[in-house]
Amino acid sequence: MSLKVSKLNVAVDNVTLLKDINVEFQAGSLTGIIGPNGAGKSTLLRVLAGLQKKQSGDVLLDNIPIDEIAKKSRAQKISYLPQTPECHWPLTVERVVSLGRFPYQTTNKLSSDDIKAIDDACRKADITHLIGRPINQLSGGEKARVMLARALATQADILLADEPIASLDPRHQLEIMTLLQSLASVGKTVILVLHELHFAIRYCDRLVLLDKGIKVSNGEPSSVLSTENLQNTYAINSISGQHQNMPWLLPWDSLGQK
Amino acid sequence: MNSLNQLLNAPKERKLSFSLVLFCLVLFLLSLFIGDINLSIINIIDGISKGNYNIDLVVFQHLRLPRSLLAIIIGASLGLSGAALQGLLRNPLAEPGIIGVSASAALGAVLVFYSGLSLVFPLALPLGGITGALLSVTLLYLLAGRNSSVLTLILAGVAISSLAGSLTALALNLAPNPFASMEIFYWLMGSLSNASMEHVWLLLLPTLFGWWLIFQSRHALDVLSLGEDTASTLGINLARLNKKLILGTALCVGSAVSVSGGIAFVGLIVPHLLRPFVGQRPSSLLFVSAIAGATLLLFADIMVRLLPTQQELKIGVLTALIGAPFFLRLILNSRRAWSS
Repeated sequence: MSLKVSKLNVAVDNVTLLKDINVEFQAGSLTGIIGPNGAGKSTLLRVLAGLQKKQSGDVLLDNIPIDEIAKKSRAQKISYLPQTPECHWPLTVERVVSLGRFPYQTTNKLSSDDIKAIDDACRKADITHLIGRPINQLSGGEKARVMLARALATQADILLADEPIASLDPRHQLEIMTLLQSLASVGKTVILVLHELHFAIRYCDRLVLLDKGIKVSNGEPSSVLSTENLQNTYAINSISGQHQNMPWLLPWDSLGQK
Repeated sequence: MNSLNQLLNAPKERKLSFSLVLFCLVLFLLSLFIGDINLSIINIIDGISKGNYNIDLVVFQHLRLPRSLLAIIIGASLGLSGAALQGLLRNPLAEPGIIGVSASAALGAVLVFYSGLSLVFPLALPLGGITGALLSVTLLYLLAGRNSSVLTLILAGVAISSLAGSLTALALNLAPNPFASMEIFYWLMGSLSNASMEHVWLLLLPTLFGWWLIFQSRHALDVLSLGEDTASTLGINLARLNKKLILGTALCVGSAVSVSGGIAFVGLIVPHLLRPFVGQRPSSLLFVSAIAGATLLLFADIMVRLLPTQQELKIGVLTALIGAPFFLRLILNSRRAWSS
């Protein structure tokens, strides 16, 4: 499924958060939304999830405005993982993951399809060894993976994740990025907010660079992460190169205030 | 995968529910035969079968039975609404008594009482209680529903409680005759001793409707543990869920309070004690909390009858005496658990 944003404007209390954003997210691609703090990345993701009120513009899911799709059927198609996922009760890991099946459930009982999806999500997020444990006893990284598994369990065509690897150790960062890439390769539309530019250039198929609510650039990672763009938006210089036929990039110097 | 199915689909709470229901039934039967007058079953059966109204049958029909039935209905409402409010506000300290719902319901009922409306139109009493409760839960949700910090909730509850309390005091203060205010004053302490079958009928309809509204939302409460944003993206209509739970709580607590006065802490203690036995799930907590609330109130009502006090102890006083220290302990624990 493709997700398309056209002429999007978002303002809260007269402060413009996003201005005239046009972008299309293709099925089967991993797109990173990048930009410095306050660029409007999370706001854009929240608009895509149907959580943020917009002043004008449209978000189209396969050409249908998402506001016109019934909540439950939209929940089956779009899965959203917030920046700091919360769980207010110390539920067990498998119970938390099972909540991702809510859009399909008509009774309190989980069907065999549900169980299969939960099992699959737990394997993918590498949390099978945590099953049975209350979520409040887990480390930050383990908790983040449980929450990712919850989002995966929905098996939605579109996955929106706000900084899904921010609290993970390097091994799990690599594994989760590989996992998200593999989801895209089987046809899902994966959209992430990312701060880690080295992952953005290596794993993402496309990048959307935002700055102060405006789309600066959109396209192939290596062209979006050009020296000029990095200087103008992030106010940094980076070093880069190639390894195993893949580009790498490392932020190196701060240029101070923009 | 089979183990996953077992973990997720095996109803942990079935055994618990069954034993609670059984225990509740035993207490119910016991409560019918405990009190100042010793009733003889033989006389009662004899009275019913032959249609002769002996004193035992009169006491049984007009005093004991309605009192025990009210204990069950009101206790269930308090336990259930405590569990529901805790789920809605995602806060283990939410309870109709603590957050001012009972006090507001009492105010509503007192106003009806005071105005004499209840004499003309008996249903006005529960309606007054329900209106008071509805206003307070709505206000509370506006003040503390968006952010689930314990502090905001308690502060909002304190504000609502004191507002309702002071208005009730005003009504008492201005009451034309001291006997009326005495009566209201005693009623406010919370008691089932004036129970009649009429009360049971008054209570039944709004209470059942309230229970139904709450039970309908049980699954959504589980999803709400992930926060409002995630719940919304999982297909929960938050506005509708809030309305259902607020109205459901107001209906059952409001009508309960209008009959029994304020009986605090049942809705706090019961869900808290049961939560570990249902895997912490808000949905599974509802039914067991209702049954355990009924059981607890039946038990407390038996206790006030048995305790050798000069005047019968008010049941609300008893639950408050047990509940307040419990509440303190809970605050201390949750401060430790949630401050990190």
